[in-house]
Amino acid sequence: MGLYRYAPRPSGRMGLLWTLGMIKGAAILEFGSMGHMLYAQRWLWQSNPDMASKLYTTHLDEKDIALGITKRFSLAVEEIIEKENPEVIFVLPSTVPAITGVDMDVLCEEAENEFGKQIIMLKKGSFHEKLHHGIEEGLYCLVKELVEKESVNRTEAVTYNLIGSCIDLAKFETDIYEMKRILKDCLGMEAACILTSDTSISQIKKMGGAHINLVIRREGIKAAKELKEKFHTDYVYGRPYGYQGTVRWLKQIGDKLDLALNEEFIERELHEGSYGFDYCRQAASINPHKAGISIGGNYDVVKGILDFAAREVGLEKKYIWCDAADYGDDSIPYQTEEELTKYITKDLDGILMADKSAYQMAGRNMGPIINRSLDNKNFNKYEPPYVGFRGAMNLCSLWLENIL
Amino acid sequence: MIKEDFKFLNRLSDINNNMGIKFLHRAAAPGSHCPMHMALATIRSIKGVSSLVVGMAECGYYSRFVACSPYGEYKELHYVYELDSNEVVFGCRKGVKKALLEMDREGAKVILVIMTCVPALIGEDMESILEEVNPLMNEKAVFIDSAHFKRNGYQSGFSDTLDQLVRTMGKERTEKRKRVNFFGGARGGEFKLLKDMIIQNGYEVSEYARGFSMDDLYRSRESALSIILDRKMLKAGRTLKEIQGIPYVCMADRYTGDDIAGGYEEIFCLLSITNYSELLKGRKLLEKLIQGSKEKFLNISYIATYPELDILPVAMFLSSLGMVPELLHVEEFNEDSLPYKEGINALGRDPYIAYITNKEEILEAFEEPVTLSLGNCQGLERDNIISDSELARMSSLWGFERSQALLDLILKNR
Repeated sequence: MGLYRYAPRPSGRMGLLWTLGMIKGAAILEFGSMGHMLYAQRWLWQSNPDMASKLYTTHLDEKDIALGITKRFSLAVEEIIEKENPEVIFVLPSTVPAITGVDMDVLCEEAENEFGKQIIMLKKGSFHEKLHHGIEEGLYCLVKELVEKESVNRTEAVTYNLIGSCIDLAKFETDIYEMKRILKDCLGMEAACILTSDTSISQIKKMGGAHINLVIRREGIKAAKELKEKFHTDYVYGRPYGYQGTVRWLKQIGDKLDLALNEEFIERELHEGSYGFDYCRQAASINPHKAGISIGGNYDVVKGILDFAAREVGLEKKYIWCDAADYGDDSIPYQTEEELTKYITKDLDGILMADKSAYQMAGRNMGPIINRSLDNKNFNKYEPPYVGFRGAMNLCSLWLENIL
Repeated sequence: MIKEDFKFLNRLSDINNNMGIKFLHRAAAPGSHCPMHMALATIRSIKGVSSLVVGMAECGYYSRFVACSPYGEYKELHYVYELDSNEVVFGCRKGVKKALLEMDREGAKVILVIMTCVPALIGEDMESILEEVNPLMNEKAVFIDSAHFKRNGYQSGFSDTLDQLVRTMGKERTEKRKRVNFFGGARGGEFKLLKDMIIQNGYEVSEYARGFSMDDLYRSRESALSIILDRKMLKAGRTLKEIQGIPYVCMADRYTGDDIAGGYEEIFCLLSITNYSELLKGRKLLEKLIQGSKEKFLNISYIATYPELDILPVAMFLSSLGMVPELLHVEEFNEDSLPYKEGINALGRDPYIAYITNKEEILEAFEEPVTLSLGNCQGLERDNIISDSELARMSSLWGFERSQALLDLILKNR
């Protein structure tokens, strides 16, 4: 923390909000100042206006803070119930009550008793927690607090939950379309719950009935473990990038469920992308000075795209980083903004896939992004994905534009 | 949804400061901007002003909605200082000083430090930080306290920012020229006529609404008079008077024929211009309109929801015509608001005052139906609503023309 020239990394509270903000049937309340929620609403509307949850704040004034008055909280809960009657009210941690030491757990418990409505207080509001902490807590909390024990009976069709589809990632929506498509056509599987970019409280409650949990970002592992413990449902962690990577992912899922892959489908998909893939490989080998790739952002996305770029296509790995200090390792280290500005400069050549800040550091116009920035709007639901066979085709096409 | 009735709200006569303004709805959905937003939006249109947002990740991250790039077209820097958990307890003095010196080294000119909720809550003494750091810098840093919990709305971000920027010019007096400052923007025939008249009498005119530079602002100290068109700029006009001795006339709150004519008299007296009768023609038109429709205004009950409308002077004017304010959205109530309070109460009106964040379900709590809404409002027939955009257009006019436009909007469907 300290001075940021570009933008600070989002906090744990923001991670929670971005995880919970797309759930139908829920309302989100912050016991705090109003300004953040208005920005958050704009961000959610830019992500998917149809899905965005209703956001509320109590606001606070100096008297509330000085005297520890919390009446606004129960009044707000009362109004939300009268107006919307949501299935659940999520209460976000907020900076001001966190400093003044308001016991939010007690407030929620009292309101729950008074109004007979499920009110879930989220943690991860302390000042050192970052986006990934909030997302992990949000996913885990949903599973822990909402999934019904009675839903343990497996669905008749082979179904899966996708855990970790959140609005902070570029292509979050089209990536889900592609995963659903290949799981259906290759393994005959149906989605039960997409946690959280396309779901509802009632779908979350029935997550225990799925046959497998597919964790597509590591923040979802804790939630998957909880489901495993509760329902003995196995999980697979990873994202399907590239041609071989996608086949491996499908095979891993098929093996867990004892399902055979639809080889005809795979062959057709591989054939469809083969020309562009071969072209990209060839272009990279004859233009090595242009075929370096720098990627930064979410650990799982960076890892998956890097594997495809370096192992399958043959691009040269240049500067690689992730955005979460807890996840960084030797192959994908965590980098602060200060460290990044030393390497991501106007002298950087080759392909760049990162966020808006990195493009600004490199003095480039925006290109393909990993993490969404504030001005990134998710209005085109039909743009090509990064994951799956169609994602591989798209990435080859994007890289070719840089290489040639 | 408003609880049962308005008894939880204060009436105008009970209000003496911001603390008296209650929220109309129990839960804001999701609420209004904070002053940080307005401060950044203000300096975005002033060339040469850099900013440092001091606060938590949310403030810094979302500030990029307004200050989209860290580097401005005129070498402005828009940086963020995020407090860590240690600084939340022990303060951020050292870090902020270092950050400001860094910005100074990188060539920032005037730096506006925007202090948000957390540093304000822990009592960070930004003034003393700047006292320490300013002598070490080539350029000057000023700050505003934009803690949202200290007020309901966001407009102080505008007025405080402009005020602080005016303060950077210091007390050193400069030679006065034949120049008039306009603080705020206006359009329309009457405003053009006023400007032309001032120019024809040998004065230069400087307009400070948007798209000006700090150098332009510094030229305001050479002026003979400041005319305030927007009450959010009154603070800056007063400061200019305090530090540079430049008189001002506030026209922003004048709606009646007498008040506007009085304002013109003050302006032209200070500028030693005698012939301005052409401008007073609008008064006759306004008075004719009022006379011709006197009956129609009587007992029209109304609410006001448009947050950008400076409602108290408007309500005082409309009360003088016999209209009945029932519920008014008021963002800030300070000592400047007291004359309007007294004026409205003296006319026998005492509306409820609230901070309105949601435009729906306002009317259900009224026992008697409300006739008109100044501002968007769900639940009224379209003909009985003067929309936010209509009010914005009306507010951008000037003088008699503005009052006439307001009355035309009210009479439109009557």
